[in-house]
Amino acid sequence: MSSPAQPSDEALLEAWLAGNDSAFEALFRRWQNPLRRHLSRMLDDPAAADDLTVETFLRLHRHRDRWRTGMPVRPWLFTIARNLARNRLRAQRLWGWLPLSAVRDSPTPPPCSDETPRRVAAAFAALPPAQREACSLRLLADLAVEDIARITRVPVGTVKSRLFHGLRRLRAQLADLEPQE
Amino acid sequence: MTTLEMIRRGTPDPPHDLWPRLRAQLEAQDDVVRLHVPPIGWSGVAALATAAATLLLVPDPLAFLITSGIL
Repeated sequence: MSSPAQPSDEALLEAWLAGNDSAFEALFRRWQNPLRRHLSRMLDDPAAADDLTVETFLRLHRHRDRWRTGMPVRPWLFTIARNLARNRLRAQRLWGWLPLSAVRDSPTPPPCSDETPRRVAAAFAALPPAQREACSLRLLADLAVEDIARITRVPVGTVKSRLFHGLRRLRAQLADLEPQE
Repeated sequence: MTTLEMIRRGTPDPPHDLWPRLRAQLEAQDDVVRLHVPPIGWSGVAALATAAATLLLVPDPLAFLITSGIL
């Protein structure tokens, strides 16, 4: 996510901890959209993805003293987001058992003339959760397989397998959208 | 266009910036005093366990503590 001209995530965090507040803003601006894309796919709810993106950085801000030099920032950031998303999904499942669930706000997709975003969202939603998470982190947040393994706490081979099967399903579900040659 | 490109195109970045919202929440957070309770170590756990055991097992805990010179 950083080119030679741009400071690394770790350099930004270090600069922020040294007192440069604009480094925190730069880190947020770099990761807000990859995080939102990923959380949106995991939760299937863009508004909740916005909430959790902000909450992820609030947690990072609150627990900044836990960071040690040399510790990679990306896996840390996405692990916070993952825990928040899991808590949110757990709470939603709990609410689903209560009779008041009928009055709960349901996420409504924004109106869109292009069919692709709706179909992509549906294809992701149809994946098993572990494959959805791996594909979302790889394709939408551009994370390396090693980072995904660290975040999801599984071996690299398991991540590769989840990606392989997940991508195969996505391709099958979206095949009719691809232009015929 | 490959499937991967289509997936990326089908997941557009939201148009609104979340930085103002985060900044407002951080500023609000600055006004909140947070109390951190230090974690209980092994010595604390041992002391609590001893106190609980004393209360449960000794018939007259107060007299026991007085006779053993703790009180």
